[in-house]
Amino acid sequence: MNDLGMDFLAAPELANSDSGLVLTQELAESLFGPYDENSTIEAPTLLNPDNMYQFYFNYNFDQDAIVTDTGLSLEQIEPMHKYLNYLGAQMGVSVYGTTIAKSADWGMHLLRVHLPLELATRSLALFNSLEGLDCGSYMRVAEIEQSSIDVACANYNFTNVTELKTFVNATWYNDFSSLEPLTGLTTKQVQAFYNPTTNASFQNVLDQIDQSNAEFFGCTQNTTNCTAEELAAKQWGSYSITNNPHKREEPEFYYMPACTTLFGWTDNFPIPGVTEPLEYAYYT
Amino acid sequence: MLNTTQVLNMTDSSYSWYGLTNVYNNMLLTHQLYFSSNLTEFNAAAAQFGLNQAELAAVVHVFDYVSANFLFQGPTATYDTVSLLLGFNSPMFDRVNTGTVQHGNIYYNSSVTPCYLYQNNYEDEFLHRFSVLTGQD
Repeated sequence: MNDLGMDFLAAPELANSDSGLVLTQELAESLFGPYDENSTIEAPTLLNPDNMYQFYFNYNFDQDAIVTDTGLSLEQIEPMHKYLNYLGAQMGVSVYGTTIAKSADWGMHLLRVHLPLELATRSLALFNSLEGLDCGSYMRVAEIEQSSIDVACANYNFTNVTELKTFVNATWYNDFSSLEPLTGLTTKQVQAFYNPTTNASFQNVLDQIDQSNAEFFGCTQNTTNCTAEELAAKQWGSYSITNNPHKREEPEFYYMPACTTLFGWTDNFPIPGVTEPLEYAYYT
Repeated sequence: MLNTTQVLNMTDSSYSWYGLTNVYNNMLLTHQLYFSSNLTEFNAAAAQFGLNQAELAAVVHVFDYVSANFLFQGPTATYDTVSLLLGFNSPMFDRVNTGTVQHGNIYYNSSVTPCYLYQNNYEDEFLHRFSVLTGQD
């Protein structure tokens, strides 16, 4: 049991259990001795979950087998059963506690991974839609020749979140070289495309959008580009990102509809791994 | 609703500050809430999060819904046959068993691992939305 982390909330002393169980020291050491899952010796200890399972199984069907397996007398089986139930009452707590921890951990993890990228990409796609900017617009700012633009932009619509995300991904993961085989751009052209000091370059516009969002959402950890942790916390506890759009009208709603969960943003553009509401606040 | 500071405190994994991504802390708090009259640590955790006792109890109750509907994907989830047979030993529960058994994972083996059941009882709002059967049931 100790190996499963299940028994530490119940005082293990027999006297506390009110079970009436009395064991000799030798039998107590045998039945509650350490369990080594790597040992080849099959010790009778009930700290081995398999032995515990056998005890409960045989309690109903073959109590003589318990005598053989554990060294308990037939008279001691019922008190032992009561004692184990006393300890076992905590098993549900173990499972319940684990599911709470995993719910919070997994939900926050998904938000940290997806929300910053989704917010930035969708805001940029909206900006492109409103300003009539496309892939070629940003390429021309980077002074990339038209023949290269024709190839690089052939498969990318910069008002489509899924397609635009390929280019925003590169900044998120700091992996610019992966774009070269996808677009046919040279290293020098990619560097020019992402040069933040060039006015109206892709990176320059993205930085301005990140800053605008940081100000709008009141981020304090980083006032020019919200941290993933802070965005996730705001969303998980009070859905204050997805339910707090800049403007409550089209076309923003196409990209970021006002809703109480990140899952609500997946109608037009799916988010991998986000298949149901994951925020604590959504369930309040 | 929880503010940003409360969320960052609650989702901390540190044992010392009652963070709810620490499995031990959750076991301690749920044990005290549901099985004990001693609420010492529960009340300390509530104070740590800027909540009172009733508010933290409500948070724990909300996690019934979060666990059932998000972690286990709710009543419309589809399960592989193997998931129904083997409980937590299945791809469905990968999101639960992320780490070692000693750090709060539920799966041990297919014989003694608790089995998850979803309960969909809208008539009793106080009934937990999911329940767990252990080897002793």
